[in-house]
Amino acid sequence: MSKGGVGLPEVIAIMGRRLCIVLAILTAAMTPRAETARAGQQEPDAAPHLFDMSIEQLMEMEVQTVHGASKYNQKVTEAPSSVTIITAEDIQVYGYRTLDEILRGVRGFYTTNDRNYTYLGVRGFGLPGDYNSRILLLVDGFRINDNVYDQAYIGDEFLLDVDLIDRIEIIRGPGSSLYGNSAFFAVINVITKSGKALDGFEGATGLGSYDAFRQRVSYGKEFGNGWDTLLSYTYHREKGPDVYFKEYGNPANNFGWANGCDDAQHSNLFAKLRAGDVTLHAAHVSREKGVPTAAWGTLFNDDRNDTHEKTTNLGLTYQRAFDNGIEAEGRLAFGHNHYGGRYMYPGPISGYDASTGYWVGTSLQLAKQINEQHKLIWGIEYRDDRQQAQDYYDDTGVYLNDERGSDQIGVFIQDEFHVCENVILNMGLRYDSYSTFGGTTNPRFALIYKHTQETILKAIYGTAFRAPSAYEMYYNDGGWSMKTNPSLRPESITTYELILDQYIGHGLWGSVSAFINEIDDLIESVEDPADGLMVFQNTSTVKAKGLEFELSGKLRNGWRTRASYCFVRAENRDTDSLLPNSPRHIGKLNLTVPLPADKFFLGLELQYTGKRRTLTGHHTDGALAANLTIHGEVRPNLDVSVSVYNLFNQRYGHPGFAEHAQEIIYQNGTTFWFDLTYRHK
Amino acid sequence: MAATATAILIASLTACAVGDTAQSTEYQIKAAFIFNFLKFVDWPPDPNADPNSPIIIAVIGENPFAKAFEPLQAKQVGDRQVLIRTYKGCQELKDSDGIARFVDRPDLASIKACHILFVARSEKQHIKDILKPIENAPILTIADMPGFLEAGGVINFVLEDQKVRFETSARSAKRARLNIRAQLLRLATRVIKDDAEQTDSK
Repeated sequence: MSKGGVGLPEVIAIMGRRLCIVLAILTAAMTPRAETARAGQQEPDAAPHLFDMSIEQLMEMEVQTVHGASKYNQKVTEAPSSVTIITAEDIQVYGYRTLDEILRGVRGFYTTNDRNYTYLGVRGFGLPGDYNSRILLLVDGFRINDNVYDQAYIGDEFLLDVDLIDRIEIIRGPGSSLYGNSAFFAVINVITKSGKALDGFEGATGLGSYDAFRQRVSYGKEFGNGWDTLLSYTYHREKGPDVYFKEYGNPANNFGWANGCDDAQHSNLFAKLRAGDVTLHAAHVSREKGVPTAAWGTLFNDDRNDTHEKTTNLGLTYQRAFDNGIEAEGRLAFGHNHYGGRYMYPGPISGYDASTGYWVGTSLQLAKQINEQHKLIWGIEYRDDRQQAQDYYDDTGVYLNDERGSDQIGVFIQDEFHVCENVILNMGLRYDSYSTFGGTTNPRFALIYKHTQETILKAIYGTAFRAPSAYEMYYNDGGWSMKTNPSLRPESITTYELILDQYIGHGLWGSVSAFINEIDDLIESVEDPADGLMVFQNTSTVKAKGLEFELSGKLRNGWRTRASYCFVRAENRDTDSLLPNSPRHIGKLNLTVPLPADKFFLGLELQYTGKRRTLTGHHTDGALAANLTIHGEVRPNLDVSVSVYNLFNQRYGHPGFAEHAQEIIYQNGTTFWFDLTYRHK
Repeated sequence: MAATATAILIASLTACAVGDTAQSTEYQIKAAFIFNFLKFVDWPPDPNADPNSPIIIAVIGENPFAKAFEPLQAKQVGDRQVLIRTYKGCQELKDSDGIARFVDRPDLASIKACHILFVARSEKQHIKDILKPIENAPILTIADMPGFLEAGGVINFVLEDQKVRFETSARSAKRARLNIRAQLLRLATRVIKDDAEQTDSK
């Protein structure tokens, strides 16, 4: 248990009571609405209140579009996927500070935190020891997964300060037919703000529990003639809590207390410059994080155990719509990543583990509305992983010094075929060729049937792949515990999904999704009985079946809500056992309530994650976490935000991994955050 | 895989037979914009017309608004009712009645009597054919296609950062003897001025 639960029982009790009142009001407010919605047949369907709005108000109404589902802008209702969009407004209202805090609020998603990295579980799949390699993470369309672990960093080590995010498109389901590798369970497309959105200087200062401090300075401006720039720098540090682990509860290990070992520090730099059709992107993040868990059998309560990550991404985008109707997009990308870990062992031995890689890539895509019925997009993508290096050494010698390179090329085509006015058939196909394992072809078919303006049915079938990472193929420590397997094949997934989107009335949409995920050739670390060494192999077949429900929208009184429930059963077909770290029930409620004071909002998040099986066959308890933020504009140039995370001081934990002695790694108790944002135009 | 693909293909073809037209709430918002434009645009006074005659909003081509205008039928602008009319698109008219030229269509007079004419995207290839014969008629022409203003249209919708915006041509408005009030011009993202060829961009 972390020492975290700052002992303020009174405050929490009051907050709990207030929360109950809020919930009671919510229930009261929702019930009659639901009835009128059902009885509202005589009421014209086309949102009559729109006609009472002024043009200024109408200009603030959002039309939900998504870019990442087809690599061009299309309406969410016409996208060949189940899509969730998180906006800058959500990030503000719910007090989100990192990408993982955002993603854990999304339908069907859950996170696992080992007090070093955060890993994302999707629809019942989040194997302990995975490295977020089955999620494709894009920033402004550029792939940012690293090239040794193929890991998508989603904690403090994520490329951006989330304050710079304009919107995040979460596109569920197989995306390899457009994106190739890693678009296995979902594509997460992060779109940054324009300079125009800031229009001047902005500063943000945050203070929080455990001596946390965060400072951001940004500048954004649109200069006219198509020039626009955004520059930003963020620095963050925190001492972190002293953490108690019962597994180390003996006098030799400070009675289980790891003191001052959970510290973190990170900084990032972001620059974007648009000049007409060309946009230049540059981003850098550097993080250091203490590892308090004594993972990998290191010394407990030794604050020298830590990891650091550095990521740099540079990109150039050229986008142009030509007179002949062709929309062209060309990209040049450069990425560099470095990870280093310091592991302190008994005696005078300290181990250093590192990975370093860089790549260059280029892509070209063309989209064209061929005629009334067909919109085509096709493209080619090439990437050269110039360096994929891994090292391990300690005071006694070098155990691993592996340097690789690889390259890959992909071609894709997709046709959005408007069969008739209310039916779209979206067909995509991509072929990828890897220097490591060869070729793979992945299709996606989506049938979108718009029964009425308010009822949309989608049927989706698609496959996706995940290439074996350099880590999985080449990591070894000279015959000590792990060995290589260069002949690994890619994992593959086949997804069937049926989605019903129904407009309920009063600004609310309901969505039901039924899905089946079948994974073959899953890459897992297994022990080779011949020599007792751990090795990655294509082993199991996994099948996950599930149902998701979501209700979301903006109500007329200014309330906004997103409520969802996901039920999933994921099992390993070879061992006939349910997957570890796979909650069967995931429930979420996000609620924004305008407060009586003008421009003040209350953002409430409730997240229920069902019990998860640990590696030793026990279970973590199901947990309900609540986060509350009050955000408001006190002056036109000054915003204040106060957040309380884990409002009820729930004691809950996530399953530990193979490298942990802890079966369950407990998370923080109640923590606070206070944030001031000031603007100068 | 082939079986799934075939099943989806067959389902898509049979699905065409049922269900009605659909567009998302984008057109509900655009419909509300159009209703608002009525308040900020002055039509030239017509001494022959009954001051209480209905205001006619027409859509030419494949109507993307579906039922979005329905609430308007119940609304009044001053003492005037609002009527919604739809006209066949150029290609459709050619296919059904063999009329190839816009100026030859029998309902041209009726079109010229509209106050607002929304040109649907299905008419993309025929924008100029439609606008040229009616350019001097007092009609507020609206569309949501690139190049519409340059072809002589008065107001064009664009999507910017997920939001509906509009641009306008004061030149085309002047030719149609429409007065677009300053409040509306101020909110436009781009205004093509009436005097010179220059474009004012915000």
